[in-house]
Amino acid sequence: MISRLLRPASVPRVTIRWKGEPLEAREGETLLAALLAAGILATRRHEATGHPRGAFCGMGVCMDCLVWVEGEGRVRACTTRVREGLVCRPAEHVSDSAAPSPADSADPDRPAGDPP
Amino acid sequence: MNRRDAVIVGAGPAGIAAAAVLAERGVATTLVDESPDPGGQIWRAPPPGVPEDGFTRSLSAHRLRDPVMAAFEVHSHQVEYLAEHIAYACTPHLALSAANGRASTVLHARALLLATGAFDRTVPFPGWTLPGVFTTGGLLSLVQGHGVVPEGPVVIAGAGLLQLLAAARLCALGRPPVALVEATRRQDLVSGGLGLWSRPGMLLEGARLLDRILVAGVPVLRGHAVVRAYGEDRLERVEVQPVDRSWMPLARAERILDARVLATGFGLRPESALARIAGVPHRTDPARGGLLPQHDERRQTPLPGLFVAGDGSGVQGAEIAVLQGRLAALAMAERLGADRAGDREHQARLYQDLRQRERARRSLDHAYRLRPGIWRTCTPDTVVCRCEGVTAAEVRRWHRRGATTPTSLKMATRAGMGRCQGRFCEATVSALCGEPEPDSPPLSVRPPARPVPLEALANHR
Repeated sequence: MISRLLRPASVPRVTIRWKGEPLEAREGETLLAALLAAGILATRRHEATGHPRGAFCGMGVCMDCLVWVEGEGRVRACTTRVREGLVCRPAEHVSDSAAPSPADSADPDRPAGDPP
Repeated sequence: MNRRDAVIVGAGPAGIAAAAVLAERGVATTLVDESPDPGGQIWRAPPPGVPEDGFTRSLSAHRLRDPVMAAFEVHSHQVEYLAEHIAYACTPHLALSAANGRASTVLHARALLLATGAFDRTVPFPGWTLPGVFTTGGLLSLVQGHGVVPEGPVVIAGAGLLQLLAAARLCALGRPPVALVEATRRQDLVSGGLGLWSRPGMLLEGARLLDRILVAGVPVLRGHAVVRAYGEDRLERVEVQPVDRSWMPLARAERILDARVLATGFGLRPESALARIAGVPHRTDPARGGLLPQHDERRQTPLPGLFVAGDGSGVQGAEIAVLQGRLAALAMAERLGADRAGDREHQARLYQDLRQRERARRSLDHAYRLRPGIWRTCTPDTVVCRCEGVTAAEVRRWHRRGATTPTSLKMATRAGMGRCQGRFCEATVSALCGEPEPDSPPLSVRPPARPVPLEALANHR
């Protein structure tokens, strides 16, 4: 079974990275479309319950599809366009500042959960 | 100060139609929208290079698009189009705040139209927060805007025209759903269909959609509802039960369907945050989606110069939205002294047409109206507020302790305090606790209407 129902040959492709892995996307589509087409549905864990979450409303209302985009911060995958070289990962445990969070930092001495 | 003559929020059918009328009359018009391209959800176009499928093009809402968009494009050079701008606040004196990326601005309008559209009305059930569960509108916009549907069996469930549309569109694209689960029973739909005698086009289109679904061999489970979703890290199965006349699930004859994608929704709710932030009085009309801003025949709210049109002022679809947008624009032009000879007659004709269509539409909306038994799917352990992870049991417990208004329940439980600002839990909280007293204020909505980075507020232009 395929996730892309329309397959034009002429649309330029771009490469993005999700959790470090390269993904092929189509220029002009949203980050959400690219992730879903690649079979990635769970894009976040709920901050309080830890339950897996992914896009729900698909039109910018519910905020469940929040992802972390390098250089932009926490954005809605459903309203963000892909571009060549875009780097993204789940939005949880990421502080609102542009600095990497403790959980993602390479410094093992800094305990997770403390402010950077 | 950023002064503007006419400002429109929302570039869907109502906003586009209004912008064309205003620009045609020489009014300097600013159109603010969250998306990169005009069209709203219903007229969402696929990305460049991806052809639109013939089925989509043949639908009445889309046949309507071409002339309305063409009229807009003729005058679009006179329209200041602010794409990817999030309108996040509005004052009673028509000052509209909007953020774009990391900057924000305030537009002081002489006439302001809110044409903010609608989003899916959802009824929670255990497992509805699993990845793979989408609103029907959300799945439709993925299909229409991108031609993307995640792999695996799809179930469409809920009630309403959108369910029919989503199922038919998937069939047309070669990915028929494994089931269409519709709570409305056949006999309830007959009365709605009879009310449409004056609009045979709507009946024909409904029949065409259903035909598409049946020809593809999709099982249509009428009088049924999804009561639970199962899965570990994503949706794997759904449980379906028959419902009674009031849509209360009957815990018998349940069946389990394999599903990796579930679309769920019970009609749409108006996006009313900006009108509520501005202080427009609202009233409740369940058949049109819930809380609606008050307005007069010319679409003006009790706040002078503030107008509403389209699904955001009561869910009735694209054709009615276009008429309402034009009506509002004519009244705005008059307010700005830009009306033309004959505009009053034009308004009267539009209003007649609107009244007739609204009457026909009401019988359909009545047939698909939400029946209260469906809230039984929201069991005590079901998450009610997706943002804050608040369960139905917690809401009920605080209600018993005396938190009886929507706002006090929000304070006590945090339901409605999260990122979506209560858009997906407001109706559920009301249903769980009984409708609030008629004179109690609705859930307080505060700016920003959508989350906006602090950096954008600080970087004010």
